[in-house]
Amino acid sequence: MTFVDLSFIGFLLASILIFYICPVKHRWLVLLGASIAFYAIAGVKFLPFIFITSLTIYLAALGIGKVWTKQENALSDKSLDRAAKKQIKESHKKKARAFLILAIVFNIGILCVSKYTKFLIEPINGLISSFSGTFELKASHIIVPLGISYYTFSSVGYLLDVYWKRYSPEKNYARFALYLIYFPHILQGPIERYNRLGERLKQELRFDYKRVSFGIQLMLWGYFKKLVIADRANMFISSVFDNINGQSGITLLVALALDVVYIYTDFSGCMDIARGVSQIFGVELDLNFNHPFFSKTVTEFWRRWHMSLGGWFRDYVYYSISTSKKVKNLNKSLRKKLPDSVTRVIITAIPVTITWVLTGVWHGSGMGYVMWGVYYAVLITISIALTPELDKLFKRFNINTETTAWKFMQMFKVFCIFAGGRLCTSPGSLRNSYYVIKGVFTRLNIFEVVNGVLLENSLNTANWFILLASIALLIVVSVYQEKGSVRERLSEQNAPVSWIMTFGLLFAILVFGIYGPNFSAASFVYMVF
Amino acid sequence: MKNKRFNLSVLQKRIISAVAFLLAAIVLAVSLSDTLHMKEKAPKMVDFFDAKNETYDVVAIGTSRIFSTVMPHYMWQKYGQAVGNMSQSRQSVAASYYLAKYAIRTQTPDVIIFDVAAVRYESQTMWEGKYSYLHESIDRMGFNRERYEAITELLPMKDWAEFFFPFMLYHSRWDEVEALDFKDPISYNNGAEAYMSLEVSAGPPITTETIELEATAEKYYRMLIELCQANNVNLILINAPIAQEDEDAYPFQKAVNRANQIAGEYGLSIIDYNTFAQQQLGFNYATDLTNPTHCNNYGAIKITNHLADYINQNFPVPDRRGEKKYNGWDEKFALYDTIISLRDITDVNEYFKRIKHENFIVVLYGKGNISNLLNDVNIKNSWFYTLGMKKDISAHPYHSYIAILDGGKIIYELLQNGPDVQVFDRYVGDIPVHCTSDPNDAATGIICEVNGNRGLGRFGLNILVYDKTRLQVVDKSYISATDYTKISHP
Repeated sequence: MTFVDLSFIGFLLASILIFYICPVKHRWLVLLGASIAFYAIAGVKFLPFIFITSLTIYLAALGIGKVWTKQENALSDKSLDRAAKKQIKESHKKKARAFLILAIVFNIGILCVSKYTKFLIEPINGLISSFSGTFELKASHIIVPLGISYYTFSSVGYLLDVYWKRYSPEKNYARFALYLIYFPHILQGPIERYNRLGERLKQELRFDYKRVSFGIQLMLWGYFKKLVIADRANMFISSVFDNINGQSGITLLVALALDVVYIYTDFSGCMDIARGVSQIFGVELDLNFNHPFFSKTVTEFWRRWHMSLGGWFRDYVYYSISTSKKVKNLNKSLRKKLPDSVTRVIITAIPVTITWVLTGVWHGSGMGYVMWGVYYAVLITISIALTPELDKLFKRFNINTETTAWKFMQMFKVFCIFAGGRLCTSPGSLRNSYYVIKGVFTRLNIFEVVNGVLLENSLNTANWFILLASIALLIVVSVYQEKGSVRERLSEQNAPVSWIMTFGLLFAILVFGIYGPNFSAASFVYMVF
Repeated sequence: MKNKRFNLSVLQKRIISAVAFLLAAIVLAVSLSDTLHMKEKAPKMVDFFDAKNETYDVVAIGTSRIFSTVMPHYMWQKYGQAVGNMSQSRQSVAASYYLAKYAIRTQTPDVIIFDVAAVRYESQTMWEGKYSYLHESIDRMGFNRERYEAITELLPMKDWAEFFFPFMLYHSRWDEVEALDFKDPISYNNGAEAYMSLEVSAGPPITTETIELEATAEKYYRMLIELCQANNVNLILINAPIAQEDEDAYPFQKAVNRANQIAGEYGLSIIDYNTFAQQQLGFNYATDLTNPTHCNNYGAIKITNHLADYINQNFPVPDRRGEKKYNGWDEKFALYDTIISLRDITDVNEYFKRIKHENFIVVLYGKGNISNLLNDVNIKNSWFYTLGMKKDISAHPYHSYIAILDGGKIIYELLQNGPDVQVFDRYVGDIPVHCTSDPNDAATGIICEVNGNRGLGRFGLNILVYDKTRLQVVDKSYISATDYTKISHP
């Protein structure tokens, strides 16, 4: 069951009804029950995995918490000298780290085995077949639990936060389990921090008409993005990438551009649905997208795109590496041998490259994802290295970087860079990516657009019109969202105006949405991560 | 006191607002659903499901073999029997059972006529993913318990949604919607469809052997018999004629024989027109079938005549003629007679007179060299005097020709020398008429469509007659380029 299944709407209505019938103090238990049911419907076989992860992380966090309490008690003895205190700290840290490492290795191990075995088996099988030719390792029996990347990262983040004493461990297992399995965010995130989502789930979850109606509106907007834009764009993209060599250059170029629209509307649409659903229950989820295509730099883009994942890698990987002793020592030694500007680039490149390759691998197994990580690592490193020089250059030539035209150009640059990144993974393989690039450069004839060449891949004129009009609407709404809440504005209007807008959205989804037996059901892209 | 009474709290206002929003959404959704629903197969079901309760005293259910065999207009005109034909192409026994259940609840019929053909076809029609037939049968039923039972008992849970909310299926038609989608087509003959062509057959498959029925088919067949008996509805089981040329004719007849044995367990027997008709009704396999499995109109009238007599003699079905509830039925069936008789006319003058009907859109278009045809004195005379054509056809030795009549008046006429390259694409009222030809292939000639219904492509003058009030093709005929003395109806 995903958000686009009709059964989900039934499930949601039943959950809302039970939730608000229940006394306020027990409502979190309804959410826990609904979340377990939601997960079980997706596959009962997945349940043991999330149960084991939640239990091991919960126990490890309790263990770490106890170690820190003991350490605190031990350090409260005022007769201790500095050396003794240091020794106490080190011994306790060792114990806490043991809990931490064991739990992380175990859970990341589950994640790696379930997600990457297939990727690793293929070259091994290739190696075996070159020697024996008969024996073959099989990965078909390996289960990839729903949302494993999301809940594993959430739980690891929680454990690290407890280890770093950012907050105390949760004592109630059911509360912790709800934080992990909470159904609006289990499919595709956001990867929430425990001190935010966990605390919100502990608040009194009371009915609020405005919040519920806002939640419904946000859900509708999410469905619009997903069913009207993303899945319509995907019809074209799939058709093009399934037959790359037969496509004209302009078709490939349009497919690449639409692929960006597709991934954005698919993922952010799902996030809007998740946040809308959660708002109905009175629980705010973190914003995961903040109009990334209004960014003027790649770094800014990644602060606005999949914010929870970016934040997770920044806090738990990037900072851990960049502030580690080894990197600090390397920095010192390089400064003695190399100019500061070069040292800065090298020292930046190390954590950036590791972080981005890991981010790529998190998204999927395969060389395409590794390439994707390297692509961004190189771009961001270059960007960091060149920014001061470029700033100087702009000043020298009196280039005004505050003009609208310049900003549009920057946004277009970011769009193109992102499309380049998608090129590593979207066509299905690096070989296909090469064919796409080759096709764009060798068969490009922009005038073919008027010959109806774009109508050859699943979308007729009417569907193109709907797609382009929907994208235009998306841009207009995004511009308004940048200025403030559209839903707030809508709520200030008279009822007929707000009704017409909501009806319009609802019926656009019902009529123009890509769903039902005449279309193959498309799940959300980020669900597979 | 008065103020207090009308002073609603914020919560009450919000509840009213939410309920009103939901109601408005439902009304809009239902209207949209009706608009986007496919219309071609809808008329008979719309007729039946929209009928007032207790309209039909006799209900026919089953496959296409029954809608081409049981003719309500004839039964009405002979005995005033109010007959509704709810049969559909490949209607499974299970679907027939739920339709019968619905009919019994809403119409309380005295008689149900069931064609046992489906007992042979159950697995192919229902369980192999061919849901379109079931959609045709039940989508227009409305929300009621029979539809609920049909969906939940016949289909796996994963497929319930598309049947409970067929809008999920039809919404993809949004880019095909035309003005006509806002109208509901009406059946001419209470759900029956007549075929006029014939296919010569040597005779029926004669066998006394039996074969086991598919389990689901047998289950619902028995349930149908028990349902009728429990509700005191007289069930007439029939086997409409089938020709031995059909590749499945003998297994089919064996299945019917087995169905007859089962009927015997309930004190019933099948009227097997394969054996009975030939001997007693003068059913002629050389002239009365349109294809090996379906009667044409001539055969259908023979069978219907027998059924009407049989019902009249054996069951208390009242004569409804003259009753207020049935106002319009005489007129409806008279129009049907006009249409059916049109399909029999071969005389050019007579045909041209009949197609000048206020309900009809007529499209005439030429294929190949029709100059001789158009210069024929008889044709030319009837042409000018009957149809009111204006073009001087004798001046053109070789032509592209298109003429369109709306309600008997000519609204468009085109005559041109040279190859057939004309294209006509416009609305006549709100009915789309489209004519086209392949400029690279003059032999293809012009082909015309009215509301998506394609006319013939014979050498000569092709004629497509369409009823704009009932949104159905009345006739497709042609005058041959070589033998232009008559109208042919293939």
